[in-house]
Amino acid sequence: MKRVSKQLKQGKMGGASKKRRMKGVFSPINSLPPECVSHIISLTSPRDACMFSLTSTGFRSVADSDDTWLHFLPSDIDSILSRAVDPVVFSSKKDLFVKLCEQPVLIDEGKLSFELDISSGKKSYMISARALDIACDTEPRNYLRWISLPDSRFVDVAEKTAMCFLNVVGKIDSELLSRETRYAAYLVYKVKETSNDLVPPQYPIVLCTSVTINRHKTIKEFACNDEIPQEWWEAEIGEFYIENGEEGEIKLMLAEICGAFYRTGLIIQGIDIRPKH
Amino acid sequence: MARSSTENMITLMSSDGEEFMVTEKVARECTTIRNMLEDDCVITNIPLPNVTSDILSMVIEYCMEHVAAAEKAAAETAEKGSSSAPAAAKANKDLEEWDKAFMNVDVYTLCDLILAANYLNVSGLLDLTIQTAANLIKGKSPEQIRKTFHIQNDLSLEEEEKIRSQTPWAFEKSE
Repeated sequence: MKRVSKQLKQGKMGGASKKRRMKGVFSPINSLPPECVSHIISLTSPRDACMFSLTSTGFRSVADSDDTWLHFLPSDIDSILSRAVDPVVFSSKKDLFVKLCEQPVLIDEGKLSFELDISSGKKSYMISARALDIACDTEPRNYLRWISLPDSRFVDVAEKTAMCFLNVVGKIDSELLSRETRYAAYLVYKVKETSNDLVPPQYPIVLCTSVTINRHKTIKEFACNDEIPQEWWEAEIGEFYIENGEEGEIKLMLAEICGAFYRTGLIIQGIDIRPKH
Repeated sequence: MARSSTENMITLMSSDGEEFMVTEKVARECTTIRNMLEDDCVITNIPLPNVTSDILSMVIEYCMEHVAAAEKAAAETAEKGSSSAPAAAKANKDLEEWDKAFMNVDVYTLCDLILAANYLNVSGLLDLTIQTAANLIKGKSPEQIRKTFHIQNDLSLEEEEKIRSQTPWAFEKSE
């Protein structure tokens, strides 16, 4: 045992590595097998991997390899892709990652859209208006019509045709979402250009929202911007955290108490659920 | 400890001919050696032609520390009948601190340790070294990564431009 402890004291100084350092031409990473380099890069982030690919020709091929990018894709990616309305065509895992960040993919007969968060590779979804429960407190029926808009990712969106307060409920299975991640949910809406209902502009929009996760309900009430834009706009419904092993349904609710959502011509695309940075 | 004198000792020989005597328990931390011992239980002398003496001594230092920590935890559990959560948490934190100090090495030594941990299959050390290397890359520009790891850039300006244009979002300044 004595021998070892004597050796150990010298260990940290390093002999052989010093010799190589003198040459100074070879990167120490060059000595590692590709699977080790790919393992190192997979513990960084998609952005870091792209930065690494710009260091040299040799490291570019490892940084861009399927082995590396497989780690940035969600573990259930095959199951998600199998539910796509149109097949997703890709040439490599990196190409697939980039495609899923740049363009949402419609899944589950177009009821949901799926995409990846560019900086973290975490999953985001939008629940289409068709899959939401949209209710109106005064009009029992005929308060919605379905229209197609070129700037919507879904086949159709909901247009409110009655003067009434809005009440929207969306549900998503928590198992679809990335683990150990803080998410926020937003109602995505705009107003039709021709909407000419008389709503006094001094009335702010007051919303009551709730997020129910694991039987725990968080309610908030707040005023948001009183102008409804003609571009897609978002109202935050709330935040929630997905634990490791989280299961069950997440219920997202938004109800209008006062304000301009009351009028007709309000268009709802869906509820967007994405990681909160 | 009187017990250690009765333990089997194994001699590990580095590529440059240094001999290291370690307990079998410490040697077994290396899965590659554990498999050799299980195949042939009378083996006492193991040559490791891929590992230099300075790196091998560091691998042994790591294994000894982790074996000692595991033995200490087991002894405390046996003494008290059950493990105390705060004591276990403190022991874990101490070991983490030790690991952190152990990783205070230059990138050449770090890469040599990754190679040795990979070859000897010491999973804890491999995870630690790989994570340390990953941390050295995180948040850095290509130029900073090259500097850290002494990488020679052999990409032409055109090639660089092409790579940048494939994922422009990666090279934009983050908000």
